[in-house]
Amino acid sequence: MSNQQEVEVSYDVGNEFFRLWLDEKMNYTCGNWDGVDTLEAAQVAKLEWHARAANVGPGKRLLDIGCGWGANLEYQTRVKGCTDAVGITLSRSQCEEVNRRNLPGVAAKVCDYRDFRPDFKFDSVISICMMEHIATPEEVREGKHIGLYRDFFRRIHGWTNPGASFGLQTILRNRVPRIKEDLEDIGFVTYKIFPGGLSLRLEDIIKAVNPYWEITEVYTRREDYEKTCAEWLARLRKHEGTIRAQWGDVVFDDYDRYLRTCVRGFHMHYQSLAQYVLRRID
Amino acid sequence: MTNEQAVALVKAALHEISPAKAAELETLGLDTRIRDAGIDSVAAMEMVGVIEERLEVTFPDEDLAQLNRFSDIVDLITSVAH
Repeated sequence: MSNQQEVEVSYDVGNEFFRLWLDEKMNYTCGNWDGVDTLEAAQVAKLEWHARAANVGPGKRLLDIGCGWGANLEYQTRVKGCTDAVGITLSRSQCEEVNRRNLPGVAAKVCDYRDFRPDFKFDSVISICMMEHIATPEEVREGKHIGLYRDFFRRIHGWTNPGASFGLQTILRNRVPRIKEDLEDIGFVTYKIFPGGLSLRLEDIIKAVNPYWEITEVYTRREDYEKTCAEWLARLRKHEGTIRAQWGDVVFDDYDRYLRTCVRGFHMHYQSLAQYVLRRID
Repeated sequence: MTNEQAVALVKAALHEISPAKAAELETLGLDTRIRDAGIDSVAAMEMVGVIEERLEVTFPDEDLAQLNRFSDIVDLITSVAH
C-alpha cells in the first residue's frame, strides 16, 4: 500500500498546480468521451456513469474511497441529490480542497481505508482509480496482491447495507513493453510520480471480488484515457511558463514526461482503463 | 526445451544486457532474487525481450510481473518453449 508520504508525492505538489491542467472540478482520472468533445463534458459523463453504477440518489448514503479533490462528491451531492456522503483520502491537500468546497452533507477526512471505521453503513460506494495504491510493485512480484485486493473488497462489503451498489474504476496493466525507452518511461512514472503503487490487471479484479461482490458490467476505456491524458498534456504545456516559474523546471519536465508516457502507454496497449458495476453479494 | 537449455538461455540473455552481472550470476546461483543481483525491472524486461526474440515466442504478460528470481525466468521458458 502506498503510505501517506508516497501518496503526497503524487497528489500534494500543490492544488493550484493541478488546477492549471485538470478540468475545472479537478478530476484526476479518465473521462468518458462518448459523444462529447471537451474534457469538462467527459468528466461529467464519467461522474454520471458512476452515479448510475453506484445507484446514487436522495436518501442513499455514499462512500467515496480515494475521493481526490472532491469532484465526485460534489457531483453526487449537488447534481444527483445525495444528502449524506463520506470521502476518504490519504492526501492532506486533497482533503483540504474538499473541505474548502463546503459541500452539503459531505464529510471528508484523511484516512487510510484500512483504518476506516464508519459510524453507519452505506448504500452506494464509488472508488475511482484508488485501487492502484493498494499493492506495491514488490507485493505484486511476491504474489501478495490478490489477497490485498480481496481484503479491500471484504472491508467495503462490511461497511455496506444489503443491496449496495459499487461503481469502481481502475487503470489496467495490459502489455509489458519490450522497448527499452518505454520501459524506462513507465518505470519513471511508477517509481517517481506514483511511488508505492501499481496498476492492476483485469484478472486481479475478477479473482479478488469474490465472495463479496458480483460484477454485473465491465467496460474498458483505453482510448478514452489516451484522450484524457493528451488533453491534460496540452493544458500543462499551455501553462509551461507559469509552472516553471512557480514550481520549478523539474516539476514541469517530470509532469511533461509522465503525461507523454501515459498518452503513449494507452496508445500502445501497455495500459488500459476499466469501469465496473458491482453489486453486493448479500 | 530442457532445463539446462533454459538456464543457458537466461545466462546468455543476461550476458547480452550486462556481461558483468552475468559473471556474478555464476557465483550467486539461479535462486538469487533478480533485484538482489542489481537487475532492476527495466533490465529484467530487457532480458525477457532478448529471450522472446531468440525463442520467437511472446510470454503471457500476466506472468511477467511476478518474476522474482532467475529461476522464475527458467520456469517461464520451460513452460512455453517445448
